[in-house]
Amino acid sequence: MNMSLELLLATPFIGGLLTYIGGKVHRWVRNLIAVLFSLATVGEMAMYYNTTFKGVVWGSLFGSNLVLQTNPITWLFLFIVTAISLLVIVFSIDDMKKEEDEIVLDSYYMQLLFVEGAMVGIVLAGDLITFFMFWEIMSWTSYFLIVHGGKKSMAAGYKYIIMSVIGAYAMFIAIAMLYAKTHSLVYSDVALALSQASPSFIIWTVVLLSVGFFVKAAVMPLHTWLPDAHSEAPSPVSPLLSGVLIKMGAYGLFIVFYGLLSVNLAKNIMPSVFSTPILLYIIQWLAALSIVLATFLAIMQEDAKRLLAYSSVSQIGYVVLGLATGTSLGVAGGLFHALNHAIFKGLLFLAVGAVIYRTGTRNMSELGGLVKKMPFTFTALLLGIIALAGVPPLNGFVSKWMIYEALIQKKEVFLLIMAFVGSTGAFLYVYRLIHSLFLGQLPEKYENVKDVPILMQIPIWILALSTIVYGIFPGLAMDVIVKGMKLFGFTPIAYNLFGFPEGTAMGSLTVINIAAVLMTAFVAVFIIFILFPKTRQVSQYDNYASGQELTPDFKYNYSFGFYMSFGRVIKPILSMSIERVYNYWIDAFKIFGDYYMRRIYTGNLETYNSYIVIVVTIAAAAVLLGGKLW
Amino acid sequence: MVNLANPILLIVIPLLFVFLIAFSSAFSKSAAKYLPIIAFGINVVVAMLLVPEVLKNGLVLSTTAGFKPPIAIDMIVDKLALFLVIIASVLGFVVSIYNVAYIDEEPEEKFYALFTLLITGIIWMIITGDLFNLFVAFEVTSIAAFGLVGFHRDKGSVEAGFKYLVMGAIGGSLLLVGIIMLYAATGTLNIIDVAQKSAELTFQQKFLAYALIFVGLGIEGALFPLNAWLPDAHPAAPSSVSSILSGIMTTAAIYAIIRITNIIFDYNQIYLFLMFFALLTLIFGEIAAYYQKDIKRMLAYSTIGQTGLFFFAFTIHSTNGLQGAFLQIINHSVSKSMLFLVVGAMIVQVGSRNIEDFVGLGRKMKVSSFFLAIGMFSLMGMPPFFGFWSKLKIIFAALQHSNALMIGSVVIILLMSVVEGAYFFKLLQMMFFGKAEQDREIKEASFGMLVPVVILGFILLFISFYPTPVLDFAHQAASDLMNKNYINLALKLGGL
Amino acid sequence: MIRKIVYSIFLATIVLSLVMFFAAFPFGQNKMSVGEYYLNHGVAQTGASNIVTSVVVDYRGFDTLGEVSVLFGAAAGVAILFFVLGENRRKRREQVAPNFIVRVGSRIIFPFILLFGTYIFIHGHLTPGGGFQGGAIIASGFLLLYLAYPGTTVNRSRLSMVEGLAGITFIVLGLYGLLMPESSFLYNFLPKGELNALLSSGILPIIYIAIGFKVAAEFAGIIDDMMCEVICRGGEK
Repeated sequence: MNMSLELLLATPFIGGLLTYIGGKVHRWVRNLIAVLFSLATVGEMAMYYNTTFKGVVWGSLFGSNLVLQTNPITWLFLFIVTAISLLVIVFSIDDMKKEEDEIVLDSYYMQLLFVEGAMVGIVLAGDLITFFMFWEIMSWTSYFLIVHGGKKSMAAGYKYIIMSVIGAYAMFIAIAMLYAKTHSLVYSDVALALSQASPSFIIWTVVLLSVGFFVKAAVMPLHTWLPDAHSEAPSPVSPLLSGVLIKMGAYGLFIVFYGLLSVNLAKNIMPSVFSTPILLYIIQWLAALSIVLATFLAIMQEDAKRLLAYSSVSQIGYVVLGLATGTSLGVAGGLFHALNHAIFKGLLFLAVGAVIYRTGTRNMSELGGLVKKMPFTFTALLLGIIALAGVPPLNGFVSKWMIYEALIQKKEVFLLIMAFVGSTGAFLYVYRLIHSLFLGQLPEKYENVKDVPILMQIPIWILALSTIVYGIFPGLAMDVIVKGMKLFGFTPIAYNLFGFPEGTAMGSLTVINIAAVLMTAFVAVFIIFILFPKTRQVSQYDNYASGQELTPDFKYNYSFGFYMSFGRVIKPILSMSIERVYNYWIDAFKIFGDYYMRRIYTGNLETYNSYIVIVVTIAAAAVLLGGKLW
Repeated sequence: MVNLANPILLIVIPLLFVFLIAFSSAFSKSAAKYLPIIAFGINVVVAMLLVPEVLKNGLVLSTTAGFKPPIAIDMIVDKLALFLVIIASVLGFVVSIYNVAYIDEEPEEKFYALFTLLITGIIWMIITGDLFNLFVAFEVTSIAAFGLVGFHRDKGSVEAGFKYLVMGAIGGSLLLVGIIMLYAATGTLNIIDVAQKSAELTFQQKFLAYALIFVGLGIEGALFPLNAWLPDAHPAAPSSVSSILSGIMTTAAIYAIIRITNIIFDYNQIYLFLMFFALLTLIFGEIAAYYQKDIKRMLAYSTIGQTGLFFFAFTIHSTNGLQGAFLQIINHSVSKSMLFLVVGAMIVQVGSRNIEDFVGLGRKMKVSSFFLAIGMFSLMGMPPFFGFWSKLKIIFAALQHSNALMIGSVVIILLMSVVEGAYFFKLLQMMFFGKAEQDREIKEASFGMLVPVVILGFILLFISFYPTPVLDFAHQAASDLMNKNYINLALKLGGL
Repeated sequence: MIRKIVYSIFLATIVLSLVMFFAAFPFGQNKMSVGEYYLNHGVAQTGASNIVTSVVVDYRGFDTLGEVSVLFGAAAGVAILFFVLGENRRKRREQVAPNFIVRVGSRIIFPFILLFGTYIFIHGHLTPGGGFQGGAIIASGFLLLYLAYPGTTVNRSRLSMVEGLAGITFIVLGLYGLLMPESSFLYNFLPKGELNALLSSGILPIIYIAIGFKVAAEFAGIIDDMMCEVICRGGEK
């Protein structure tokens, strides 16, 4: 059984290599290997359901053991990683056909599996070296996936990798500081060392580690890479990035705050606000800001994938907000939302990818009316946006409810309001999304559009059904989460298959009842709608515009600048861009560096020799001054 | 029977082949092409034979002229030296293979002779146990390098060669003056003898001599601000030569600094002084590399940066730091030599050194580009490549001393790593994902040039995925150096 | 102007510190521990009456091997930088012939220069001078020939054969020392002979002869290259 943990880690990597080799034989061999190996990973992952392994040593480096471990929390993330990767690979088979160069595809599948393997490694890691190693592998392999998307994606990928590397190195310093203290980076040893360390040391390490995770999780103000990278990446890659990759940041935060540092310890060494350690409280605010600002930005987007990308920033804000509450309910909500977001955001990106596959554009103002042409995709996307907006009975509702409830219990009114604003804003942008893509007038050039091939529909449908399953049966996920959180010292929350029973301090929720109410209401409205037909069925063009009859070649339905008036209201907020600040500093650095490099490496031999003279003079002066260097 | 595990053979055999090349050029043109391969093949074998001896005794000592040092010159191979000798011999062997396909310009036999002499000089610098002999080796290396840098005889390379000549000559003279000062102070030239006899001298008395030796070697070892010749010379030289210059020659000079500092000038103040140089070297190398349009110049500046990094690791002055330095030396030697070889092959195909012209090469020269990417990843310190282990070790070692200076240095190192990532990724994405405007006739590099690249690439991959023996060996070498086993064992083996 | 002042201050600092250093070790003070050993044991151990030679070729013979290599490298470097293709090398530009006295005088003096050079390196272990000096003198004879007869050519492949062979001789002699019980490179395995006799001090004279040939060939090659740079047609770039 111990071996198989290493096997689980190795499977995607071996699969990646075999995929590349298989691509030399035939493209179907390659596709088959890719699917089989990701399926195998899912299967191996399933074996670890609700099991806990502590410390399978797989190597040792510089006196620190390299450990693999698993517990229900890691299983949750493993589940996200492997399941979404499998679906993405299946979706890719048809979607990436447009790429003519077979070698590019070979490396594409290889990198997909490598990214999956790296993320499996991060989750399974039982020590910080393993964690950091796979973290870096994940950064550069996913970078290669992003830049597969064409010319614009190169700039996006470049920004992504540079920011990732900066974040990773911030983590690196913290890890090295810990290593200097303990000489063993296994989580339990680190936790032990932290419990005896000085407060300033703890705060420094935690802050540095958090910076690394914030970059990957795209928490404001370190989110600037995400909108570009997620929107410019190839369609099948976006769900992997948005759904899974940024969750690694959330996982990292969870490990740091609840695995390495416990809430009690945190409370002891720093002041508390609203009974939350100040560090976590700051993180809560950052997360809340992410929620609100990214929602506003998402509302103003014209590009469907960019809209979803900003939405991801906003939704990961909920995850981080939940994790940062420090209470059982909040953390459980955050973890559950991580799963839910992976499902519905994966669904939305795949559905939008399907539209892009057929129409070739992701500019929302050029699309519209596709509902009749692509009904399956429409239905799936509808489910996705309902889930995202947090409407019962789909899955986004339960986790958001848990986070709200946690905030209410902590009486954090401002944060609660911000979370609500984000949720309301989500209605605006998801409505925009579905309207611009599927409703309204169908542009003539898309008359012949069909729904996507079956291989692309399967992943979409699996995810769409998951939104319902996890929405109505939140207990399925809570089972894992609660069991896992027990290991990290949280008081378990009561739950059942349909939600949370009454009579506990947690508040109560039974989704099946809400669903039943909603369904009843829906059926009632539907019956009324059917029974009392006061409306007349008209065709889309049975209408007037400026006193003229409408014809299909006349575009009457504009979806550009959809929320323009709203945009005017929030304009002052949008004009503040942290990215401009970064660019300013980068440009300043570039100009400064260029100027001084030219002044130093002049190409003039005389200058060069004077450097030698200066160095010797300094040494001579040091001797004359009595052997002191300063 | 002759004991083949004799350090002196490491120098003498290639030197014999240098003269053989000169001799054979009188009647056969093509013999010169293959003689260096044989020479360094033998060297690799000798180095391998030395491994068990060194592991057993910690050190192998060999005298000349039948006298004991300090009367005569001795050669000492300890773990650290062996480590570098193996790198130098393997690189020499591999790059000699590359030369057969790469060099097509007259006068070939002179090139091969100088090339062999260059690597001989490098090995000589590494294993000599005598200060004046070190100077001689330094001169052998420099003289060979001057000629090789100017090999193309175009305007750029002659100018670069001239700059290098002037600065190298200044460096040589300063080194000589420094050695003379030590000789004046102690009356002996053997490094260990000097160390023992100069023990009673004060820091102030020794410092000037040390500073001159440091500056002299630092010019060759590419330490800022003494390295200004390097960005001109490395690009101007033929790629195989750049590969040796970048891969092992600067390293050998740094090794000499490490050795002399450790044995003769082991003062804590000095390490602070050196750290200052190391950090400046790192900063200026990496930042300057970012702006380069010429790919070889970019790699040359990156060499400066890497030198700064492993020199910094040395100046941490702890076993861990030294281990990190040695690991980084291996990483840099293997990766950077490989990069220069690949880039050389690419330049042959593209016909330009401008980075913009490398657009889309990833699809045309797949094998070369693959190894280029691996080398760059390793230099950036991305896991799972070897550079990751060495960077990990260096940062860990630096933060063992948690004072503000070290933390500041670590921040600088990591920032410079980001800059390094910035220019390497810029190149990589251009090569793999950029599309050339017009279709060019570009083929994969010829077989003869690919073989050495693949050998180095597999060495890199091997040590990346199975680093344990290298890590252990580096650790032993480092602790030997810290414990001054060089002196102790040499004395025991009759080094004096 | 400011630059000059600054650099003179710099130089003054350097010089002052050097003076400070050497003031601690006055000239002629007996600090030379190794040197003393050479003086006391040199003649007995090496059999060379010229103590300098015993140091240069025997005690520190390995340095000399290095110096030989440096010279070789320098010659090869010059050959690379001043390389002219074979066919161009033979095409010479019109040169004004030097006057009669130079031509006849050099023809008379040339054999004597060779003889003198040979004498110097053969007697390297007995009298001042040695392989380097003798070789340089021989090469100066070639220089004289070039000056007197601009059309002079030397057979380069023969020159490189000579230098190669000389170098090989040096190393093979050294390597033979490894076969001795001392197993030491450059071990003086031949009988020391009688002091002050021509055939004495073992391998030292052989090495010096090899060095003499080598240095002569290398210098001649350098002279040839430099002359060619001026007078060969291919020299016009």
